[in-house]
Amino acid sequence: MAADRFHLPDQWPSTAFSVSLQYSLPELVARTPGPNVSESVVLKFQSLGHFIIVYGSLAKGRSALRRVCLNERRFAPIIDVMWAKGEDNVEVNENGESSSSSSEKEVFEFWKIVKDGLALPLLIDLTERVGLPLPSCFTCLPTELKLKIFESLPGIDLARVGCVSSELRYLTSNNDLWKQKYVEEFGVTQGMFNWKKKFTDSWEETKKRKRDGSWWQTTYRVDRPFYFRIRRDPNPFIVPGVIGGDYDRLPGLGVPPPFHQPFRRVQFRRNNIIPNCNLGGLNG
Amino acid sequence: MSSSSSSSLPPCPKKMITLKSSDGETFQIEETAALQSKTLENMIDENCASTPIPLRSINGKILAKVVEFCNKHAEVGVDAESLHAWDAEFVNVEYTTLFDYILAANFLEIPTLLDLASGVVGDMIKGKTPDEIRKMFNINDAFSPEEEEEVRRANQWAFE
Repeated sequence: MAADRFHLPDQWPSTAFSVSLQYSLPELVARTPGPNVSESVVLKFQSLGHFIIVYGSLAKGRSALRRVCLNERRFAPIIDVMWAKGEDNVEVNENGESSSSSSEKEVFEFWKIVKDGLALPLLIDLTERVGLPLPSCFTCLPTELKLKIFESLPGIDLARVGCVSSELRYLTSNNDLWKQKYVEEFGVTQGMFNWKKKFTDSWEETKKRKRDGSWWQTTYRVDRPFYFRIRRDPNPFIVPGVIGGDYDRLPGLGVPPPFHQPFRRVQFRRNNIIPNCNLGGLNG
Repeated sequence: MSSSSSSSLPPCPKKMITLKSSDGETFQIEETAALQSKTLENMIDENCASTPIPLRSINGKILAKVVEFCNKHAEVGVDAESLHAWDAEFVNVEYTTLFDYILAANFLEIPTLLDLASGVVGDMIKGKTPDEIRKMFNINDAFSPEEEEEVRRANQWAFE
């Protein structure tokens, strides 16, 4: 990771093999006078056919085993080309753009896979273990920014985030946040509640109705004008796509919005639409 | 975006301000572009922007990208669609950089960048299981088995 030089063997010993390498951080190397660093990361390379699998873990402390699998056929040729050209030799086309942008993109993909899947997790494990400051990651965001991210999540994902760790369980129990989710999912309502509980109850109720089959009857009765309107609308399905959100899906698939009127939205784009999908039965 | 504030300025169309990163790099940015940052706007309003502004929490690599973002979003005549595509490319980065964008946008108070970058993180979370989220964000402080059982039971509805 933070090594000055990477010296790997020029030739792999054979087609199926594994090599082990050990890395540490300059801060840790500086901290310990002897050759034995307090903690380091061990990488193991294993070649399987045209895949190289790289495993990484802490040398001493217990940590999860991180792993990335790289396709030699996808990345090796491009890296070879970039390597051969060198940095100064980037071809520029008449628009002033680098003509090798597609191979650059591939190299970027390669770098991203290795960095996000291996280097960053190992760096976090290592810094956490030895008490150095963490690299920029989700954990190091201040609370208000974590909450900001949660604001963009649907309720179901918010509940799952609450099952990740004690900290996130606490953060996702914020009542205001659940009020916002409730309004997004089920429509505006008044009063003071435990909003997560209210959300869960409404969610379960909706699911139960759906499971019992009575959901169809209820929805049919409640949303009757909606169905008639669909029949007259040449393209009812453009609307859910425009509005977005889980509850705007097709009537039979999403969660029915029991407290607001979905059909109000249908009136938006009645004229300038191309009938591309009617799921059958509407013309016949 | 409106640039109504420029009307009150003296006839000096390209007023530049200088930003200095944590590692000592300096960047020039047009005042009109810098106004997207509320932090910088306040400094400009209080006439504190005549000397280089030190930004101790943002390194040169990230500051360069933030300046690029502000310049792009201050350009006139860019249609929404191409700006959208440009934004998507801008946040197609590895995690560390993405979180650096969020921290920088928060510090400089640039709502467009903050919304963009935190929206990407939100999209990454959507549809994932707690285990996948733990793995993706390297969250190591797991629950005890009893706690795990308890949260799972309380949130069972989200897993059915």
